[in-house]
Amino acid sequence: MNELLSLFRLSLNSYFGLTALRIKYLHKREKLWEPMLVLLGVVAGGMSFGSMFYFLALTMAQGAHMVGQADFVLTQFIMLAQIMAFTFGLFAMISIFYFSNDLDILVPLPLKAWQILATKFSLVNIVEYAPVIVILMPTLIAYNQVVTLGLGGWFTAAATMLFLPTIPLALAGILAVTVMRGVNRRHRDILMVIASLVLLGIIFYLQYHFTASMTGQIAAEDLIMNRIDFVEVVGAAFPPAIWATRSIAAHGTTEGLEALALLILSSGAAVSAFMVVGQRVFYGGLVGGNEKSRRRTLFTKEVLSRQAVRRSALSALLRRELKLFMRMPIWVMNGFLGVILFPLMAFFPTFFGAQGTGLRQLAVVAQTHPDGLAMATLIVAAAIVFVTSINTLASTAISREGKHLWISKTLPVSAKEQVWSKLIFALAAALPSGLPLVGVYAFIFQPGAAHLITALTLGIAAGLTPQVLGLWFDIWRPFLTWTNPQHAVKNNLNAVSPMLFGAALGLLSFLAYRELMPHGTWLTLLVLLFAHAGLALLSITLLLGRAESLYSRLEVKG
Amino acid sequence: MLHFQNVSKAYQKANIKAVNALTLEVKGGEIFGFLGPNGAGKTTSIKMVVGLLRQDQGSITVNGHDTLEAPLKAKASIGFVPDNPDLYDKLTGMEYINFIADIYKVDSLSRQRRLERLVNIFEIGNAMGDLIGSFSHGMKQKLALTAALVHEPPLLILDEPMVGLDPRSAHLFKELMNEHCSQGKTVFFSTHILDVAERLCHRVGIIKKGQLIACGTMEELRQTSSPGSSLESIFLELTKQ
Repeated sequence: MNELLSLFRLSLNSYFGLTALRIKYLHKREKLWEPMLVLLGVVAGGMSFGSMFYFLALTMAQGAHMVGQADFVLTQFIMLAQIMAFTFGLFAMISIFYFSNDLDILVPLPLKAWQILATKFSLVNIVEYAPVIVILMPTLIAYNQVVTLGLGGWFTAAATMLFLPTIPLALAGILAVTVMRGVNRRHRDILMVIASLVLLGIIFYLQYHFTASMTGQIAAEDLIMNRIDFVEVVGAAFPPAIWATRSIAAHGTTEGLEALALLILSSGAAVSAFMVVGQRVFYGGLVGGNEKSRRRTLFTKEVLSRQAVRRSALSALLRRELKLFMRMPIWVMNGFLGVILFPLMAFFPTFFGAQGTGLRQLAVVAQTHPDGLAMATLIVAAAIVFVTSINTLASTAISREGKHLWISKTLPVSAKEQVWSKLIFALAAALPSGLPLVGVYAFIFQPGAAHLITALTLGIAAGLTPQVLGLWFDIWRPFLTWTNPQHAVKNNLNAVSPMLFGAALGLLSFLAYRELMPHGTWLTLLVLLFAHAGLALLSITLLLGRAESLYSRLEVKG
Repeated sequence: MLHFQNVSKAYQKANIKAVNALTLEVKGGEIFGFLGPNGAGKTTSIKMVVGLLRQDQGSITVNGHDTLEAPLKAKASIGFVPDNPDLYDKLTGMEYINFIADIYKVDSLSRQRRLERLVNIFEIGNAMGDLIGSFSHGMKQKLALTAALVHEPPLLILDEPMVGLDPRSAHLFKELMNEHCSQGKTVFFSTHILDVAERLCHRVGIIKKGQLIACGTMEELRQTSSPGSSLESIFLELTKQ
């Protein structure tokens, strides 16, 4: 047991870098503004997401309470928290089992497979408490305003929350280690693609599920007469959500205790199942993963004359960026998934949902209001800026080089050309992300060519500056010491910098819009377009002008 | 070919200089061995030459180009292999070599001719189509050496180049270094293998606590010690506390 505790303490320390943080911030007292900034970001992010969930839950709870169905709000948000735990957990499980460097150290130690499995599972479980708390605490506060929980209720809710991520994580873990068994190291990138497809499937299922429940599949009469239990309907797809709901809602009763016991026992059973599957396949998968497959291409004169062909330096830099990015699915998924997801999430419910709902309803309003289409054009442009800004290509361009930065630094290519190549690649990948949104806009709103072109050009022009500033920020303060590729983008504050720059620009644009609108719709749109284009041009010029001095500050010490 | 003039470097917030007033001249056609205990400043000196670190004071010139004033011209004259060759795991060997050759503007015919020879010497032909991530340490070292030689640089800078090489590759590599020098080009390398330095180098420099404490041919170094002593005994004598 001692060795398990030692392993857990060491893994916890290594995963969160606790010793490094302690030395940096407590002993050396270096850059104390960094934890302040992180704390500020966490509080701001937690507050904004928390308030969003609170108001949503409160509205739903007040409405549902009138028909005696307030408990279903708990089920709805518990399911959301568990789905988040599963999807994030799947990536985390794959990352911790498949991409972390510590397995090479742990496996040769005299530790049992289950001890390594349990430690890694516990680490991910701890991490997954964050989304559970962010979603459920505001929900419980809102629920408490409608149905008073009392001290016992809060205590039971805390106990329930402890077990909420466990079953989804056990399922994610079983999926991860099972696929791991069949995939060797050369093909492990496929695993990430599979995981992403699972994630996409879940998101679309959710879209469909919520759209269906919102558009009234259940007769209102049945609901009001309590002939249908909404908790059972919503939680049918995942019964642990029902048990968690009952344990909180019926706390202090036999039904509540039974539900909590059922949740705890089923969590234990799920973890046991993960341990059994993990022990059977983990070491096999690990050995399989360490085996190296070789293509053994013959190195002939024909191969040389076909492959060893000269290209320009810029072309070589761009090809390097493209290959390194596309061959790391974690980066592709982190940088790109949102680009595809958000337009689809906007498009599917409207396309498959009932007439007169969602965006279709907004389209009718936009076409009848005098400034409706101008507003819609601006919103689409803002959405383009958003999907461009969540792309992490530019804002992690230097960070992603990590320990390979020495190669770029020793190349006889100017910093300006290197930065230019990174910018071209990032923009070429990020800017087309506006196209699906403009497609959705054209299909649903049918606004005419002028509005479509304005939305696209304004969105692209306004989306450029946050990307440029994101790259600038990453050259100024790159995160190079990551130990696995997921850390390079997930644990990298630089990745969110374009979102912050985009939000600031969005606010300024909104203020300008309010001032300019009285002078005419098209004048407003054109002024915004030229202002953003000018700003983008200026930021690119300044970045390229400063590239040499920024690059020369980057030192490779390790 | 390579000239350090009063070069110093201290790491941020460190009181001790990693390199302290280093002055050293390495001539064309010379194999120069750079020796010193762990933490003496060898890698820091090398990193300043190749542009990974900036010196706090002094100047470094490579092939007549100041590394701070004309860094691209200086870098174009260098082929560099670091002590731990971390290459792009997600590129194949061929893609990496092509990338380096493109950057150094090596035309197609020259790169084909040179690659054919180097790949055969290091016996890595079968692996050139594989991802570098699947290479062993020694294979990565061989690939890094191939990349450093593909543009036939006037100055080859190597930080512990023998680590990870099998005996046959190490032998062939030493021959390559000799051949490189016979063409009037220069090799500057750091090593802990004193036998190699003694047999291979025209001159050696010994650095301790950031300062050059000895420099010259083996004969010149022996004059400071007892006659007939080996480089190992000279090194141990000079670097003892």
